Amino acid sequence: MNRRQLVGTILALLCVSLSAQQPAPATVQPAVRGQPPTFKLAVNFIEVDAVVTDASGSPVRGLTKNDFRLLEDGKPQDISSFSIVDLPVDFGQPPATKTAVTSDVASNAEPFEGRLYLMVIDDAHTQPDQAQRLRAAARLFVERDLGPNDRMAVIHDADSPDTNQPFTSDKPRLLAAIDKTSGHSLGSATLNTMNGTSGSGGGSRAPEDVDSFDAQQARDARAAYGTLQRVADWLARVSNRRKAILFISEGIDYDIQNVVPNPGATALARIEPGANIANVRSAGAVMDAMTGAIDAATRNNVAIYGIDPRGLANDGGGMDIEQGPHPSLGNEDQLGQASLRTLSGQTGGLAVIGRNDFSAAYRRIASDNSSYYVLAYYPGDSKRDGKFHKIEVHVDRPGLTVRARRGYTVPKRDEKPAAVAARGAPSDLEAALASPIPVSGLTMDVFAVPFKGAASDTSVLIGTEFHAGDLHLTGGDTIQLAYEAIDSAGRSVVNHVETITLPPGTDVKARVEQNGLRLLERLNLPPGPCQLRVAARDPDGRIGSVISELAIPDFNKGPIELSGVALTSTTASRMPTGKVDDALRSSLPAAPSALRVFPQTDTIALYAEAYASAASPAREIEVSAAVTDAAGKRMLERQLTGDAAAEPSTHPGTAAFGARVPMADLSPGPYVLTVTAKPRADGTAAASRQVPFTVSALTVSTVATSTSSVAVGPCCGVKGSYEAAVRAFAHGDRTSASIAIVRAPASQLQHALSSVDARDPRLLEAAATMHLVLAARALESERYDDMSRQLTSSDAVFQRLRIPEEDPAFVGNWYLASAVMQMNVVDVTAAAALTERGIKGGTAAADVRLAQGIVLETAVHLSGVQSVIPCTSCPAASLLRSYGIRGMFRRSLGPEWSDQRQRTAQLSEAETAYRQSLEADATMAEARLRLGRTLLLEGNARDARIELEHVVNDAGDARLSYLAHLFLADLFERAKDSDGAIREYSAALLISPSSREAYVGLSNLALLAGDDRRARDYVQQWTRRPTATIVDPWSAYLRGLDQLEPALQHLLRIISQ
Amino acid sequence: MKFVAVLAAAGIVTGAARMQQPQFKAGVDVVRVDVSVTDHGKPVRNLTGANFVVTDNGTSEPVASVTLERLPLRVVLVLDTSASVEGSAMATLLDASRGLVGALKPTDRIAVLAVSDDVKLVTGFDAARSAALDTLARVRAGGSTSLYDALQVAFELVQLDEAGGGARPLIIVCTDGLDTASWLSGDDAVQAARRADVVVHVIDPSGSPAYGLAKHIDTVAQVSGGHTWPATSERDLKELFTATLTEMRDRYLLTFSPQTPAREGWHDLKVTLKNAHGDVLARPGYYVANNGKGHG
Repeated sequence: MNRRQLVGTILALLCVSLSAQQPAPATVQPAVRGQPPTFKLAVNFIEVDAVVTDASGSPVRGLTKNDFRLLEDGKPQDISSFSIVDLPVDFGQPPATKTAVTSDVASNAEPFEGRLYLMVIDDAHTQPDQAQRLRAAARLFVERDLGPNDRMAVIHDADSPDTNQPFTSDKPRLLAAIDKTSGHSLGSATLNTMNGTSGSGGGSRAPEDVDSFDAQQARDARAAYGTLQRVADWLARVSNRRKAILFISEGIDYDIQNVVPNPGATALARIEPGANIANVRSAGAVMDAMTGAIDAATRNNVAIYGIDPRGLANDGGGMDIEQGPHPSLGNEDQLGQASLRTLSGQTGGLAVIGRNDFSAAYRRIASDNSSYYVLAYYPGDSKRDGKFHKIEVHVDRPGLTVRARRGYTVPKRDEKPAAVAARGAPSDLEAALASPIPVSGLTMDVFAVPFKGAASDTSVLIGTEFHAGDLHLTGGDTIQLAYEAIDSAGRSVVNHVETITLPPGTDVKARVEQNGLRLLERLNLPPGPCQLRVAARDPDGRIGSVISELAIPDFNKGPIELSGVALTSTTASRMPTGKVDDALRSSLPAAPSALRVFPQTDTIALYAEAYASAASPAREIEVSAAVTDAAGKRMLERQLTGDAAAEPSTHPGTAAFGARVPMADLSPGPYVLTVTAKPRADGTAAASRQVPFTVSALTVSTVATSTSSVAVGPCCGVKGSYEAAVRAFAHGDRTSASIAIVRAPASQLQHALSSVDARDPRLLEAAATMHLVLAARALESERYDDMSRQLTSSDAVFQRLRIPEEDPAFVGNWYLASAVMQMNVVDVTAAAALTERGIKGGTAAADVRLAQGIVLETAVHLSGVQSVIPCTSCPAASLLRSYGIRGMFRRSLGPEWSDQRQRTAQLSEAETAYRQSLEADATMAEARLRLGRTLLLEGNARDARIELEHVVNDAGDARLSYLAHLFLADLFERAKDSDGAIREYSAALLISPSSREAYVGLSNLALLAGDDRRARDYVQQWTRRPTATIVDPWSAYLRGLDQLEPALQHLLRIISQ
Repeated sequence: MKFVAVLAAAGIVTGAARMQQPQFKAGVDVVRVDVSVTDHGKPVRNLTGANFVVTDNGTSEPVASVTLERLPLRVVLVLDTSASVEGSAMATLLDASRGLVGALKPTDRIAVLAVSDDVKLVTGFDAARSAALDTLARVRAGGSTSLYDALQVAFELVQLDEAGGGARPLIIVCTDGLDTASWLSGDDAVQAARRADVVVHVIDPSGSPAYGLAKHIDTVAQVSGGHTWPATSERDLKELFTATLTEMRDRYLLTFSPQTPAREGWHDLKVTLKNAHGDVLARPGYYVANNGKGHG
């Protein structure tokens, strides 16, 4: 047994780049939050986390810094930093959907808000017959008490490193690692001495081996403590949060009190490397190891939870009942349990001993790590005295229990941290790469697509994407990317740093800032489970990292294998790619992307390779793609077409497949794309891959985006667009004509427009569409004058068309799209005129009337703004943007807007529009809600109440009922009926407890009533409200333009699909 | 129970007196006013009770105490993170906020609210300052502005913070003043400011004259005894953030006991100087709750 190797492997598993050294506490790197700490020496700044519980063991929340007293060596300390961590403990059960496919994109967009556990399974002190029990106990924690955001690692204290699992949130992987527990305790020293043989793991031993048994036991004990010490030291890199080691062990029953020499010990001590006790049992060394483990845990603020998996079955230490107890057996159990108690008690954890019901204890552990206080202080002088310093944390309230670490030991001043001397401080990039949790700061999305590699390895395409606006470039910038892949044995199979220099120039800078940046890389990885870590440093020095769990397929195994699926889309193609992948260049219209949310106007392009064997030649393979919704219902299916250059000469037996999947027919929501390869002859699927994605609703900006994404045109194979478009229109093929136009460059469209024969009515539609597309692009690039001109031209041409009779819905939506664009420059007159014309020509009267009402209502909201503002950066422009309006004031907005008569007229017109919308379709709840609010603004409370109550009673939509309650509250407030208002606000709160308005409304009412305490209570509730990241319904309501978007969708599908 | 109401409304420090200077005798009806006295922008020190004249609804009241105490501050920083501060403006704002946090003394405390579509409590009074900075760095600009709602929350947060005790409350609002999404109206915000005994300073990073809707936020500052500071440059902004702290630390704390029992409603306050020269800035009045149901 080579312990040194084992320890090396454990560390390698945790942190490959630093595997050979013990991390030095003096060089703690901030791995959790992006912000570097301001302290230089870790020892100067002592962090203590404190779990405060009441008599029932429940965590006590709401304590403030002033409630705590912190003493070091009996002397009170100033708490210089105080923070509260409060994570939800009840995760509930994950929704059991059929299509629970894990995303193939890993991201650090959301900061890590979970708990961090490290499970150490002490195989050496687990008897094989108890292994099952241990597995069950350990599994229970993962299954029941590990939240979806928590991360955990499993380390076996045995010399089979491939059983370990690095930090992950992936429960199946953790469970698999737990299941590898075998248990190979040497058994009881007493029994062995009695029988002269080992009852278990060690196999039978000759009587003369008794001494070596003792030494072996000592070695096991030291190894277990050593593992704890090393993982605790390693956890030093994670600060500002509680870190827990779950030490699953029957306890380390080595009797450190018994120093009576055993016969024969001498011989073994000689062969024990590093043993410093020659003639006595290794008690001293074991004692040192235990102290070392506790020191490391306390120094690094790590709590150890010792968990004895045997539960209550402690009558014989796990031995057969028939053998009967032996006086000394109980003693061994006590020794084991004492070791767990000591480890737990000294480190602020809990020992779980003698319990058959682990669930309560586990809940307690989860709750300890969910609600706690992090206190920090600077000890008076920089003590590097090598002594133990006692820490006491008190809360001066009766009945509360505080658990915190008991103290810490500082290395002596002259003890140089080995790591620094040997290697220099690890760079922040390395630290991010080694961090057990993704580092947020620089936001990254990472995807990986495996393809068949040259030899037995798999060639994995890794894509890293930085979000638009997140990278700050100055010109000629460099970005550093570090990749590391760790196989299931904890070995680092790939570890390299790449420096990418972006070409200087404002053009590059602008494109990256607007669209983000993608960097591609190929890694050759061996098949099997693998953890991929990618860390990046941007030109500003900001760091981010992402951890992705991959299962690298072996493409040489089956008769038919399928590569990963590379995806891109029209929207994704806007992001520039800093480092391209040559192999895929000709296979996809644009670089593969991590984008998994696509607007309805988008079209996905996908690429996959199928690998054949002699039995099923490549030409006999058929590949298809299917899209299923959340309920598993098949929405659409595509046969993938093999490219002409399908079988690359470099990889015989490889067939390349591609397809385009339009999103237009999918309603917004989650979907799964499944790509399946099978032999042409027989129908059984041979291999498949799944990619979950989401279709998002259209917004004005995605419309503009899709209509302006010309870059993808040529590479998607649409060439000579405008001629094709004119021809297609001439043949009445509106769809292909529109695609051609949407993808054509502006110069081509302008050229085409100048050559359109104005007498041919079929060409007029092409011209009208081109003007509309040019208008959308002008809107996107904030050229509002140009936009208005194009809209006017489009309208002029459109009016000469004879389409109205042919396709009224098309016309209605056409005008609606034009009106929404006009609203972006607050040209209410033009917008109203366009909607009017749309109503005359179209059938979508309910939608269009609603839109007209919203346009007018938004105008009323904006009527407080006084003057025409000719700039795009002044506050008024931002006000417009917050209403979804991106342009600037144009004609209709002037001083007269604050005119009361104007306001009254617009309200009345809006009322009419909503009423007409309801006449056309009485189920338009949005129109009814807005009618209610408009009536309220007009001072007609009676009718407003009828409409709003109608919405409350009818609406199946939570957003609508919430707003209706809110408006009713407003109504009652205006009528000085506080009780009514409170009732309605409370009803609103029930529907949307994370929205702000009801809390502030209630708080304001209480304040006006002079009840300050209640006012405060509501704000207190507000601070504790669930912080969902949903868009607030009220601000969305005000952003009237957002509401127009559904009505636009028909047209958008036609002009941009 | 009138005096309780006065204590409540005017933010008397009886509750806090147990912990922190200045001491007041329980049962005394005391009104507290933070007063800034400057001469050409420079704080005027060395004034005594004899230099101040206080009138309450026109009645002259003898000044009970005047202190230029360096009491700790508790600051609620309200940051407008709506679309108007997208891009470099946001970076400047965060930089200025970090400067502010850095300028706090160890005994001062800070809570941060971010305002956009929604109002978010970025960090409460009890969070570590490093956490405040970390979280600030993650704030992203975008959306509309719910400024008045945020003010309501800020006033109540100050009252909620019982641990703050005798520390002087101060609300610093950094905004261009355009409220686009609040549920409460500008008048509600002014009412809340009159009732709360908290100085509100408004820093306008746009430096531009107010547009229509912005006038309410000016009023809020004015009725609270604070003022609006337009920033004309990025550097200016950073300096203004810390200047608000200095201004607050240089304020006199005046107390007086109204001779007649305070009646409900708004009381006009006027603070002037005698035998001294300087510009006086103080809240223009205080509010006595109408039914005696105040905070205790």
